[in-house]
Amino acid sequence: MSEMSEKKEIVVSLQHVTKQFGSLTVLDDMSLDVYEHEVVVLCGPSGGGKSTLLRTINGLEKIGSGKILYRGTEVNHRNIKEIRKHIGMVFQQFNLFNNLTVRDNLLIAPVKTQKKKKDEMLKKAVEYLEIFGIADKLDSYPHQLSGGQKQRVAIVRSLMMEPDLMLFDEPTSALDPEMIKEVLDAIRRLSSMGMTMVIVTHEMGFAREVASRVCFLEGAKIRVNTDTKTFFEDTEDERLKQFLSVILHH
Amino acid sequence: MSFNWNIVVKYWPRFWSGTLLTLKYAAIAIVIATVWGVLMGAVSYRKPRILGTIVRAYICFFRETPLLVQIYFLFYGVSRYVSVSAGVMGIVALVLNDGAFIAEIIRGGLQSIEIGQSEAAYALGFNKFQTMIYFLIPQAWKKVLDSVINMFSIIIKDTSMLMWITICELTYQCNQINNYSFNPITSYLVGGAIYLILFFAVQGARKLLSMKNNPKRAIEKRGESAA
Amino acid sequence: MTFEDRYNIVVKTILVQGLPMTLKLIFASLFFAMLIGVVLGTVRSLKIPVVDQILGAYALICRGVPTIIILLFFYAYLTKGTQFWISVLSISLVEGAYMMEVVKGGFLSVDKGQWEAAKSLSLPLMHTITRIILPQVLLVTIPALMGQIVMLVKGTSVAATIGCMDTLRRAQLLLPKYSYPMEIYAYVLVIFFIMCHFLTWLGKKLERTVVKRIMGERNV
Repeated sequence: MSEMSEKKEIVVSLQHVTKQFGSLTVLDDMSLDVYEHEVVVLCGPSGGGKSTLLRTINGLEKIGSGKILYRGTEVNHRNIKEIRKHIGMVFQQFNLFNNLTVRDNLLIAPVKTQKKKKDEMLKKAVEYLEIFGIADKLDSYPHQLSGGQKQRVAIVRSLMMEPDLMLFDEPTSALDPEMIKEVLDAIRRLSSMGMTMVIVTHEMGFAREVASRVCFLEGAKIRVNTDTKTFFEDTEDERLKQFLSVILHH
Repeated sequence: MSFNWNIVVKYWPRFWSGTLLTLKYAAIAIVIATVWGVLMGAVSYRKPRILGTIVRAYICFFRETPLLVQIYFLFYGVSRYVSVSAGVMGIVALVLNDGAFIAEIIRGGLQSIEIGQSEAAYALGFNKFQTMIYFLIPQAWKKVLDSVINMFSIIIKDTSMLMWITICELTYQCNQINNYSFNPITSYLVGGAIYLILFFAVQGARKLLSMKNNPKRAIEKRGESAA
Repeated sequence: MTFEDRYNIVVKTILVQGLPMTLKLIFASLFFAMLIGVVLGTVRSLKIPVVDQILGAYALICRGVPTIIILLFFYAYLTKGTQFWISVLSISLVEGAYMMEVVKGGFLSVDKGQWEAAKSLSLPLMHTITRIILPQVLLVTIPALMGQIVMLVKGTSVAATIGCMDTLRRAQLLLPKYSYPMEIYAYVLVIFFIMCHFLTWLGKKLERTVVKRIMGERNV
């Protein structure tokens, strides 16, 4: 671990996290610290446990053993609801609420769970939508949006909670190629705003550009966890070399 | 007042004769309604100019009016001009009503067959009627068999309406037994249980047939429920 | 029959006296059936052990046993209650079971991502159900629910058999005076047809407008 990051505060700390589905181990003694303003990319072949690991952070997956600390507090079933308010989650399938307009998708959580004022929140929503270039979609229903627009709305929906940490679960995997860029641009923008993020993605070029650290997960283990430069240029790990050669040269 | 086995034993002949009569009417209605339904379904799918409109209107009207009123209409109204027995009128009512539902199911099945099937048949020189009989109906039948058999259990239930036109089927007998024994729990519970047994028998047949029809899907379904 | 007779039959008796009772039967049964359907359908979607088996048995009984048996049973068994309420009880129990199955199916068709998104935003469970999941369930099940409502409307006619003074019963009581059963029953048929056909039309209309506007084409 570099000296730089030690000075920063740890936002989320996963300690010896293990999880099993029946006899199948999906997370095998995984430990990972995410520091403030860091962008951590999780990559690796499918079935490596990337998404599962990400989903344990906000309690969408229960863990078998080990513990997860959020800002030094151990996450348990009692405080998870409170902690989730500080963690934004963006899904592969967008998961916008199908029966609500963009406006209501953005307002429902802050107004109902954080008891914020509706008109203030609306103003904020419009500001965010403008930043991400979709202000004209305020009154649209999700089915009227393109995949890229849906994902940007989903990002704004998370931002409305003023999250301390954002999790991205393969945010571009369900998108057509021409829409991937607009979503990646949105994430780049968040990164430039200093947002702490954990991103599961296959977009290695993007990872190389925005990540401060990259983890390579395979066989339910974190095989490599290092800074971006070392990850791409100076790795010793044979499996990672293989993985990179396949994914970068296809 | 509670369940009383003595009443079941004492009135068993009535339960039994009611059950047999219910089965008889259900069986006749099922056979005729199915044939009638397939016929009407095929016509409403083909939409011949005048006949098509009439058939569609018939299907729509009989699906959207109560069976009970249809039965009264036929038995007390139409019977005045056509002299037939209550039993025949009852069957006519069940066939017209449930046949309309079956027709709609068949039409749906026919519509779901891709157009290429009939085009291929026409190309081979079959006429419209032959295409319908040899290719379209058999395919549609396979697709909708499940829903049609489901209609059979509805027909069994519908026969209970015949009690109001002097047919001594199971529900009528339950009602009579209650009038004699003053024990509604026993009378109607036994009657309800018999209907349930018939229902399970039909549903069992439905499952067997759909498994035979589509063994792969049946296995997948079982796999789902196991997971 | 003279024109005046027909006026007496159709307007004075069937429409003025009978139809309001039929409408009351429809609205009361619909209210309770929807209540049973939505609440128990929601409960069924949660798949709670034992509770789910009991509700499953309830659904099977209502699918397998004729409504008349249930109606006659309550009529004989319950010493209190008017014919109206006994009819409402029987019809709502049976139709409620069907609606419960429809609603359950609707719940299963809602993508689990919707639940996860609500969870990740810390929406309370009640809120998730009432604002997100249930509205979607009702929207996607509108065609099936409307079909079931048509069945319910037709089903209310059995109330006449225990003497509830609805459209059918009023018509029957006219028969001793006017001996034209075919014509009189035809009026009853037409009245039910108008109601049911309107509901079918409304269902299609809702599907094509509201459901399509909110949920998009794929759900229509």
